[in-house]
Amino acid sequence: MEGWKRFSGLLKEDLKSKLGMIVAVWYVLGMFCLLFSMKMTVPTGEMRSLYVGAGNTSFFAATIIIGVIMGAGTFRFLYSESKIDLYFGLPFTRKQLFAAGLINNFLIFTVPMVLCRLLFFSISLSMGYSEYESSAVSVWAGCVVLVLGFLFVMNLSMLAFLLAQNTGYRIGLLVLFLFGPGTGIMLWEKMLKALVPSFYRSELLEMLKGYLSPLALFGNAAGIHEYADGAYWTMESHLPYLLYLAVAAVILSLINLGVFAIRPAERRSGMFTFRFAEYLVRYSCMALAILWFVSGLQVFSSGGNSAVIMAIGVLIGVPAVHGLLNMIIAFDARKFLTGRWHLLAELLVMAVLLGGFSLWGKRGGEIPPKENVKSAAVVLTALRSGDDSDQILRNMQLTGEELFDAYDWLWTVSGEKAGRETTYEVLAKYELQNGKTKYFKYQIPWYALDEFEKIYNQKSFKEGTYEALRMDSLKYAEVQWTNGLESYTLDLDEEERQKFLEIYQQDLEKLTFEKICQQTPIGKITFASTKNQGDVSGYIYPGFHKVLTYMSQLGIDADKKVSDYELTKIVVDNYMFTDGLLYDVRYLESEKIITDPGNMTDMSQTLFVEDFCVDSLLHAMNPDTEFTVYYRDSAGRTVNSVKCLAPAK
Amino acid sequence: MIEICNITKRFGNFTCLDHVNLTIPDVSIYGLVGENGAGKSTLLRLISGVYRPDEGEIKIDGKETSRVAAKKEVFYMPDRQHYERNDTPLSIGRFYRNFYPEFAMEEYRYLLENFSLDENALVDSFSKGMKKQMFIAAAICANTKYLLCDEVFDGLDPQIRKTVNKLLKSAANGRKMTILIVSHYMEELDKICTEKGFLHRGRILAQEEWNRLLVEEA
Repeated sequence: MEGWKRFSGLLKEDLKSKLGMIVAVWYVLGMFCLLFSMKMTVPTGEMRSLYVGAGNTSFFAATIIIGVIMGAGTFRFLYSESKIDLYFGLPFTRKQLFAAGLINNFLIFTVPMVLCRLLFFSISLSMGYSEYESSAVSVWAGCVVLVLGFLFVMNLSMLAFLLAQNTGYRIGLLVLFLFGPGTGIMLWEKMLKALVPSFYRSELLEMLKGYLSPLALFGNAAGIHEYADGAYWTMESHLPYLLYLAVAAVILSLINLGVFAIRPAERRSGMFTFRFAEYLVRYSCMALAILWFVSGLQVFSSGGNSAVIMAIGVLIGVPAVHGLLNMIIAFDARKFLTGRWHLLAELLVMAVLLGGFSLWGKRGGEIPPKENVKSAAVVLTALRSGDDSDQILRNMQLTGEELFDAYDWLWTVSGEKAGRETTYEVLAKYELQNGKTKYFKYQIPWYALDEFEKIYNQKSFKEGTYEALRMDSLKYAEVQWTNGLESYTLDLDEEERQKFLEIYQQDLEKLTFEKICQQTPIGKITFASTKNQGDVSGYIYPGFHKVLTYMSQLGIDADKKVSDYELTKIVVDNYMFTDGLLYDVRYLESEKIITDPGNMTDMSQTLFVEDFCVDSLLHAMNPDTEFTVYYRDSAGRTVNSVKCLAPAK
Repeated sequence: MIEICNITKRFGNFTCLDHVNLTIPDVSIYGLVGENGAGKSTLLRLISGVYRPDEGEIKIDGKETSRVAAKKEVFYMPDRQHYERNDTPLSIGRFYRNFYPEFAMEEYRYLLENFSLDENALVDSFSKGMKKQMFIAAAICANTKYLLCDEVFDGLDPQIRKTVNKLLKSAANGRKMTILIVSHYMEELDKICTEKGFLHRGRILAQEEWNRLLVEEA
C-alpha cells in the first residue's frame, strides 16, 4: 500500500511536469475534432465516417508528431545533473521511474484522443454524416491503431534520446530509426535493379517495405494510402500490420526499459551512451552510404561493369565514408584517419554485403524451370491501351496450354540479345508450385514481337490486360463516350448498358495485336461508377464494327475523325529533342499557323487525337511535331481545340 | 549501517574511487573531507543509488542500494538541489511528502519559520544560503534513517551554520538518524561529527593521517 501510494505520487509529480504537453495534446486533438465536424466538403453520397476512421491523415500526422515529442521529453531529467540527483535519489527503482513515464505518456495521448474522436463521431452521427452500424468498428479500430502507432513512434523517439548524449545526435539517431530502414530497402531494390537486368520486383522486398519502415508500417496499419482516408479499412486486410505494430511497440518498450535500467547516470565520453549505439550508427550509415554510392556510380556509368563499380565502391567509397563517420561520431575533424580496425571491418562487411547482392541477384535472375511454374502473367509495357502493368500482373493468370505458350515465348525472348535497334520491355510474373512468386523484366528486340500475336489472342491474356473484359455491369451507373473532340453520356437503361458492354466485349475479343500495331483508337468508352469504386475505360478501334453500329443507332457518329469537323486553324509546333544523361530536354524549334481550308483538310486526314496515341511505341507517331487543331463542334457554335499527332514517316 | 566494500568508480580513464572500504555505523554523524575531485560527491551518489559502482558493492542495512527497501531509508541532499521555477518551500515539502510517507509537514513549516523563510515565496528568489536552509529542513523532516549531505555548510553564514549543526546533532540523537556529511569545512565537521574520514585520491585515509592534516591546516 505504501509502495503504491509512493508510485501514485510519482505519477502525479510526473504529470505536473508535463502540464504543457497535456494542454497541447488536448488543444490539437480537440481542434481537429471540431474542424472535421464542421468541414462541409463531403462529396454527395460519401460516408462521413471516413474521416473518423483509422486513416484520417491529420490524426495520423498529429500522432507521429506527438509521439516524437513525448518520446524525446519523457526522461528530460537525464539531461541535467541536479535533476538526475533528485530523480534517481528518490525511493524508486529505475523500472518504476520508467513505468511512470510510460504510463503517463500513454494516458496523456490516449485519453484526449479517444474522447475527442468519440465526440467527433457523436457530432458526425447527429449531423447525419455517419451511420452508427457501419462506422462504429472503424471508429474504435482507428483509436486502437493510433494508440499503437503512438506507442511505436514514442518508443523509437525515446530510444534515440536514451542512446545519444547530445541533442543533434539524438535527432540524427531518430531520423536514422524512422527513415533508415525504408531508405535501406529502397537502395537494396536499386542495387538489384542495377545488378540484375531481369529484376523487376520482389515480393520479399515489397513485404519488407510494408513492415520494416516505421512510418510505412504505421501508415499501412491505418490504411493511410488507401482511398479517402482509409474509408474501406477492414480488420482482415490490416490485421497483420496491426499485430506487427503491437508487437513492435511492446518489444521497443522492453528494449527501452532495459536501456533505461542499465543506462549510466553520469555523462560518458563520446556522443553515445553505449558503445553498441556507436557501432549501430557507424555500420548502418556505412551500409546506406555505400549502397547509395554504388547505385549512383551505376547510374552515371550507364550500367557499366558491375564488378568494377563494386570494387570502386569498396576500395574508395568505404575509406571515404569511414573518415566522414569518424568525424561525425567524434565531432572532431582530426579523427578522419583514425579507427584502422574499424576500417578493416567495414571493408570486409561491405565487400560481403555487395558480394551477397551480386550472388543473390544472379541466382534471382534465373528463369524458373517450366515444371515448377504453376501460372504466369505477361505484360508488354508498350501496350499502354491495356491496364496498368502492376494491375495486369495482379489479375492475369495464364495456366495450361496458355501457360506453356507464354513460357516458351518468354524463354525465347529472354535469350534474345537486344542490340542498338528498338527494344521493348516485357514484364513477367511466375507463380511457382512452392507458393513463391518471381518477377522478371526483359528487354527484347522488335522482331521478337512477331510471335506475340499468339500470346495476345489468349483469352486469359486479354482478360488480364483489359479490365473491360473482366467486369460486370451492376456497379456502373452510366456509360460515357468521347472521340477526343466531343463527349456524350449515353442515355441507356440498365438492360441497354449490359447489352452495350457485351457488344464492346465481343469487339475487344476480336482485336488482334497486328491491328494495334497498325491502327490508332478513334474513341474511348468509360463505364463510370457514382460510388467512387473506380471507372473502367476502354478504347474504340476502327474495326469495332458492332460498337460503331450500336452508337450510330443511338445517333452518335462514333466514326467521325478530325478531318470530318469544320476546322478553323491548325498550329504546327516543331520541337527539338536533346538527350541528357538523366533527362531528355524538349524545346520549341518553330511554329507554323495554317488557316488555308485546303491545306487544313489535307493535313487533318493524317492526324490522330494525341490522347488516343497510347500505343505509340507499337504504332509509331512523330513526337517532334505537335498539332493543335481548332474546330467547330457539331452544333457549330463553339470553337474548341485538341492536340493531335501524325504517324511517323 | 552503511557498508561500502571495495568500491571502484571510473569515469572513462579516470579512476575516481579506487577500491574504497568504509563502514558507517548507525546513529552517528560521519564527516568525510577531501580535496576537489577526491570523489566525495561520487561516493554519496553511489550510496544513494544515483550512480552504479564499476566494482564492489554498497549495502544499507544489508540491502543493495538499487532496491526500494534500501532507498526509502535514505535521503540524499546534493550540493545543488533541483527545484522548478515556480516552486515554493511549501510545494517542495508537498513534493517530498509524496515519496517519504513519514515526512513531518508541520515540523517542516515550523523549521521554515525558524529560518525566517516565507513558505509561499518563490524558491528562485532565495539566496544560496536560504535555499540550503530550506532543503536541510526538508531533509531532516523526511524522517529517513540515513541522511546524505553534500557540502551542507556551503553558503551558510556562521550563525546559520551553528543552527544547522544543532539541528543535525538533534536529528542524530533525537531521531536516531545516521548522517553522512561531505564537506571542505574541516572545523565544522570536527565540531559535530562522531566519526571522520579523509578521502584522498580515491582512497579513505586513516585517522592519524586525518589528524596530521588538521594540524597542518591549523
